[in-house]
Amino acid sequence: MEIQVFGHLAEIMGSDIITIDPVPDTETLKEVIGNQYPALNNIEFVIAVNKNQVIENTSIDNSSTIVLMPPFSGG
Amino acid sequence: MQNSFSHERYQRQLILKKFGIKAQQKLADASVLVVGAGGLGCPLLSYLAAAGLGRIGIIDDDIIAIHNLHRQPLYATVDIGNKKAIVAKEKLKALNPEIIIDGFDLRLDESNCLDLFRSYDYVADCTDNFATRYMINDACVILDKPLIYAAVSQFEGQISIFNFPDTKSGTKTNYRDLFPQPPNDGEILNCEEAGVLGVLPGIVGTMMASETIKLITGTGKTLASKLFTFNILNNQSLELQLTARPETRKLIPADETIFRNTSYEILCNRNGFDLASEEFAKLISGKNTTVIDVRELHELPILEDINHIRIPMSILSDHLGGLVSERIVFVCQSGIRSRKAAGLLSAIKNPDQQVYSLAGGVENWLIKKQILHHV
Repeated sequence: MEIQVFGHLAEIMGSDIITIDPVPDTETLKEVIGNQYPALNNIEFVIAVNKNQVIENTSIDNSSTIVLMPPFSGG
Repeated sequence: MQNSFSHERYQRQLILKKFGIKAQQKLADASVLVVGAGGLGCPLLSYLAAAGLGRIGIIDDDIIAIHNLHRQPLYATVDIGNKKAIVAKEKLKALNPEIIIDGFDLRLDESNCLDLFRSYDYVADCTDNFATRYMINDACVILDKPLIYAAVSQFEGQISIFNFPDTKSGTKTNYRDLFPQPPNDGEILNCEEAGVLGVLPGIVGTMMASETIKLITGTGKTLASKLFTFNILNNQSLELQLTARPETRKLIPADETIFRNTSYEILCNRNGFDLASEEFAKLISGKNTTVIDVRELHELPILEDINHIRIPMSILSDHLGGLVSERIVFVCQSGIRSRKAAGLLSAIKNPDQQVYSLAGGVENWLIKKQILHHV
């Protein structure tokens, strides 16, 4: 399962595309990546599935486009 | 009353079938306040002025520095040391004398924000820090003002339009629907800390101009309730549909009075004054630290066994000038007022002075002190 990551999340996770073992939903995804990259647990970011921002636990599968987007501050 | 405009100046866009004289008139009748005349502000201001936007406000209290010039092409080398709001106004006036330009050489804060925003149709966020971004967002929600937003990070940029109904669903979203709370201090680096390729805010700020023009004239599809991200290293772009969170409105001050009494600097802890109890214990066991309790004199419990002075918050501003110790730690009941005190002193302190606020206040200290003593 592929995840596209943006901003400084790519630095934390080591790449702008991360591959993880398949997970059934976004809550499990958060848990899995939080264990793998503990720095993510204290960081704000948005999860989007198939180009829609997710605010509740959402089912995902291998065909889902998953994005992790942090805030940017520069101007 | 409709503002007049020169047909010759705008001829190339007037002949566009999807634009024309009606769209030009809408631009001439509109007003936009641009907060921040830096990397994003320069291209946005230039293109809005060139396009014939009727009235443009520029607010920025910054001075032009040589390291601004690689990404802020409104300014020239001879402008170094001058005020951005004043120089930007002059340059835009020279570019297009047919429009009104208001220059505000001041810092946007909770006391001036609402009145300034009220006198413009649209607000554009071209700032470089979270404290101001959350303040702008909340003010726009309170006033129901459309907000053109963008931010950059190293090689990537984000753009959106908040508080404007999405054409499909009709819902409005704002920045707090994306990121409900400000990130922790130091979590996200700004351009000053992380660097930025000069052309990036140029592209992103120009996209802000394009979105603003589309929004005002009703041309094409805008980024209302969408977040557009662009990466200049690999030319990849992404458009996300935003979702309104039911709890967002509760995070925003309920009314104008509450907004004015909010401190976004403290909310974002931008200056990083907070000192953990463990660090505090170390400091007070050494020399050169002055502890100041800013609680009012009737407040309990009294801070025992620590040398300290009491200067209640109500009279602190009269005494700030006398606080000259090398290291000062403010304390209060829970750590909120002391943070504010640290912010006040920090604004006038000498560069060598260290200013802190005891995190969690006296309440937290009394609990931690027991634990620390048993270690």
